[in-house]
Order: sequence, then structure tokens, then C-alpha cells
Amino acid sequence: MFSTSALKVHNLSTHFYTRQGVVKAVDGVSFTVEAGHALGLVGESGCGKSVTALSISGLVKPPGRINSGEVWLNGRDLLKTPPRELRRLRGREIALVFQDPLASLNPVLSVGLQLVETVLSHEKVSAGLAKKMAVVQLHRMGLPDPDRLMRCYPLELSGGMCQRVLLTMALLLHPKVLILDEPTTALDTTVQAQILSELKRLQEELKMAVILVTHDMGVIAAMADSVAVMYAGSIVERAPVAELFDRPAHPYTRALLCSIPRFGQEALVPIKGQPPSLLNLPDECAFLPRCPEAFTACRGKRPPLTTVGPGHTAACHQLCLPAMVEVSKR
Amino acid sequence: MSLLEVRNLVKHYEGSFYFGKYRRAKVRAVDGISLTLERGEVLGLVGESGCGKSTFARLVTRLEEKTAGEIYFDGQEISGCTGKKLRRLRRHIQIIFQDSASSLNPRWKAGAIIEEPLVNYGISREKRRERVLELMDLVGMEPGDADKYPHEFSGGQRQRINIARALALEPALLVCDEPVSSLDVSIRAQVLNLLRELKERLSLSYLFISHDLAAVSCLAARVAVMYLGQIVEIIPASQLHLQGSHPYTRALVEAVPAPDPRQKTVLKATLKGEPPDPSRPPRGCRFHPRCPEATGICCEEKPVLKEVGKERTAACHLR
Repeated sequence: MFSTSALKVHNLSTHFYTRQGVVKAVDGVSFTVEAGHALGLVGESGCGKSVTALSISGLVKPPGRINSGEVWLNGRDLLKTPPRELRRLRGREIALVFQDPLASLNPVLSVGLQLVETVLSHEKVSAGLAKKMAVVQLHRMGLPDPDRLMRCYPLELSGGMCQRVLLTMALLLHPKVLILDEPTTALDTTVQAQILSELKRLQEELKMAVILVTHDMGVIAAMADSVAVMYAGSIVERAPVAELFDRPAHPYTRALLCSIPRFGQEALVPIKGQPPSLLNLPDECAFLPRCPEAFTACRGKRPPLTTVGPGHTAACHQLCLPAMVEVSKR
Repeated sequence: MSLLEVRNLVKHYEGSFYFGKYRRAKVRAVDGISLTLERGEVLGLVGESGCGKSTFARLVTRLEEKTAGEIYFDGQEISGCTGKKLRRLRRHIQIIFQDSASSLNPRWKAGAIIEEPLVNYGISREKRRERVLELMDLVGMEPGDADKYPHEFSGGQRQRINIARALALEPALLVCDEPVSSLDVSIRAQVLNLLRELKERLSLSYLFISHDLAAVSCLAARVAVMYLGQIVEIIPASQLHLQGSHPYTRALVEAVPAPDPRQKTVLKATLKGEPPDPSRPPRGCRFHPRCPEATGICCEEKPVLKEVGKERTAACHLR
């Protein structure tokens, strides 16, 4: 059952219990990622993409709580794994890289020490061997002069270099699943392009399953094999990447694609209004207030994920419409 | 006569000493920039972080003192303005910043924030009230929003407050320093459209600074490309994605991930490395260590901006 999919997330729900009420940051999210494939998780800020990433690796802190769901990795449910064992899995089986590279590194330890520490906390090897492994991996990342880099402190490096060091750290123990949370958002586009191409090469080399969280459709187009579009804590559309860009089925996906500035484009088509607050979300389609194609049947209930093509599902009442029309014809 | 003309503008941040030793070298943030901005025009300014875009914006708005060079606004040299003259000038040049939250006073209500410039310039109470409502309507805010505090607004709404405040005194030139970079995609399009609409309605001129080339090309007529404190190319926005003359312009365009899974050009981007330290710029053409086409002359001689086509100038030996 788990031969093809490296990671399987089923019905994941993470809620935050705040004084103002329950924030349903992630609400019933399911997806699978295969080895050697990249899943893009795309959406606006506050749609729950990052919380999904954190939930998978068991890093949600109170007042957040994972209410339900299963995360299957190697035939074991991560959400039922005791914290101590999970600690052992993180880094070895599943690795994370966050947006702000400088905040993720310890400023008072040299890069080398932090890399070596990662190896030593997981493997029973000598410090010398761990150091050698780190240098080899830095070299593999295409970083010049790894020996000098090992002696550097994070503040001596640029943002792009820090992010490369973090990627090296994440890949040091050859994890099966790599979760990237906005890995290039804080960087210049020129540096972003370099890091993306390095990532793509390493992903193919190491046959990793990658979950790429981003808000940039351009990054998705370049990196992902399949895409899950999130809105207000749920996945509203899931499709192979080419299919999503050619035939977006959900009005939100369509609107999102229209609102991206492209070269030579005059007027943009923005999405009206603001993303909803996740506090006390009504039990109906969350995109309804902003949807240009909403109709009366949209009110009152949540649309289910409907299959619209091979590997392509979307949650919109409109897609159920043809079936409803057919039923009424009969 | 151009609305804004900048000649050979230079800003160096002096090195600092510490117990008689050099602690920080002199940074050449802006190193000889000349450009013009016509009335009603939108001029884009792009480049990597640290290339001096924001310093240039601050020099033009007189938030920073130049080291050398001249700035002409409406035919008048403004870099020497002080006191009353400078105060009068500020009416005409306004700026909006990237971080919409930190540029608003968290203890003031939106209405008071928008009203402040009007108070500063002695406009009567009745007129002020009217003008605030007018401005809020202009940027698409509800009249009820005047009594809210900045934290009650989303990023996009806050940027609207910033725009309303900047427009309160009817400036001729609006300097936009990365106005949409911190906003979400769907909101970014709203603010970009608002800026375009305002420009048409109020016949404004923008100096539009961004690292998002696609966003710049949507709004600007001409785009100036900056590298390490200097302009390497000025090109019509419509030609930006087609054929930049300078290798750096082409590299920047290549690095923008296209929202199209069939063109994965980003993954083949040719530009390597990062911009060098602006305190020690390379000799000759500043771009030559990263340039894929660099030849002998590039390491030796500084290229100058010269005409390379219709309405196009570039600073490259190979053109």
C-alpha cells in the first residue's frame, strides 16, 4: 500500500483554541506525495499551508492541537508516534526548511558545528566522520570552498548562502520527505532561481518526496509535479501541475492565476475583498463572499471534492451542477 | 521640462572607525546616477536587494543627504533646499514604503493619520474633514474606517491608508518603494490596479521601485535597471521581457519564475553568485565577475550609458 506514496496525509485537522474562539487553521486536508515527486501547496497567507507543514512533522505548539487525521510515513502513523521517536524521525526521515534562514540557524555556533551536531544527534559516528559527511554534502550542494564555510558564522553569510546551508543540513541524512516552507520567499529572484535549480537537481538525484509550501505560482510552475490549492484551511483544488494551469476548475484557482502580474500585461484582475478570518468560519464554501461565479446553491453547505479529470479534483458546487442538472432531467 | 531630473547623483556612507581601526568600509550605495522622469510618467526602478534602489528613493525625497550630484524637480535644484523651501517642496514629493504597518502610528486612528499632512500644512478644520473623506473614497475605503486603528486593517488596507496619506497634499510625484512586495497575490493586484487608476485620475508621476519585474512592467512605461549603485540599462517596459540589451537585464528577467509549467526557464537561469560587496565594487564593469559574456575590456574599462536602440540606453561594452 505504501510502496508508491512516500507520505500520505489523511483528513488532517489542526485547530487553535484561542480566547476568541476556535481557529480552524487546517480542516480536513488529505493528500499523498510519491517518492521523487514534488507537491506544491499554494495559497494566500493565513490559508493554513504552513500549519499543514508543521502538523505533518508534529511541531504544532499549544494553543494549537491536531484534532484528527493520519500522516503515514513508511507504514507508520506519525501522529500516533510518541514524541521521543518522532524526534528521531525528524531529520532522518523527514526534514524541514523554513522561510527565514537567519532565524533558523543558531547565531553563536559556526555553520560546521551545527551541521556536525545534526549528524551526531542521529547517527553513531565519530565527530571526524560527521565533519567529513558535512563537507561532502556542502560540496554536493555546489557550495564553493566548504572547508572555509564550515568555520563561518551565520551572520557572515548572505541570506542565499544561509538557505543553502539549511538545505544541506536538511539533506545531510538523506530524508525520504523534505518539507520546504516558503524556502525562497525572503531571497532575491536571482538567488531564488539558483536555489530552485539546485533543489530540483537534488530532488531527482536523491528521489525525495518534496512538499513545497509557497504563495508564488511561478515557483509552483517550475518545481511542482502536482499542486494542492488551499483556501481558508481546506484544499479547494488538487491537480497535476500542467492541468491546473491549463484547466483550473475552482473559481479561486482561476482568480488566483488571473491576479498574477505577467510581463506585458496591462490591467490585472484582482480578487475582490479579503481572505476570510479563520475564526468561526461558517459551514459553507469559504470562498463564497469573494467568488465571482457564486450562485444561490452555493449557500448553506460545504462543497465536496469532486473529480473533474484524471488526478484532478476540486471543491466547488458548480462542478456538482452538471450532475444535478442531469438528475433533474431524468 | 522634465518633472524630475537627476544628474550624477552620488551617496556614499562613510566608513566608521573604532579605536582607530577601520570597522566598516565606505559603502557606495548610489554611485553616479542620472535619469529623468517626465510629468505623468511611471518610471520603474529594479535591481537586486542592496543595489541602492531605496537609497535613491530617499535621496529624491530628501530623506537622505546626497554626497554629490544634482536633483532638479520641476526645473529647480532641490538638493540644497532647507527650512521653508524644503517644507514647501515636501508637498510635491511624497513617498510610500514597503512595510505598511511600521509606517503608520499604531496609536492613531486611520482618519487622523490621513489628516496629519493637512494639519501640518495649515488647512482649516472643515476642509480637512471633507478632504479626508474624499481621500478615503479615492483609495476605496469605507467612511467608517476612519475610526479604526491600523492593527484592525489587513496589509492591503493599510497600504491604502499609506497611499491616501501620501496623496493628501496633492503631490506631483509619488515615490513608491516596494509598495506591494509584502502583500498577498490577490491583494497585490488590487493595490497595483488602484495605483494605476489614481495615476490616470490625478495625473500623477511615479518612481516605482520594486524587485518584482512583472509588477513593474504592468505599471511603468520605462524601466531603469540598477546594479551596485549604478544604472546599467533604461528600457521601455514593453520590451523588458523580450530583449534587454544588458546581460544583467536579461539575467534578471530570466530569473523571474513564469507562471507556466511549460517554460521552466528559472531552472536554467544563468546568473551565478550574488552581488559583490558595494564597499568594494569590482574594477571596470561592475557586473563583469558575474557576466556570462564578459571579455577583457570589461575587467579594465568602465562602460558608460549609451544609446543602443529606440528609447533605450545601456552601459555595456558589447553593445
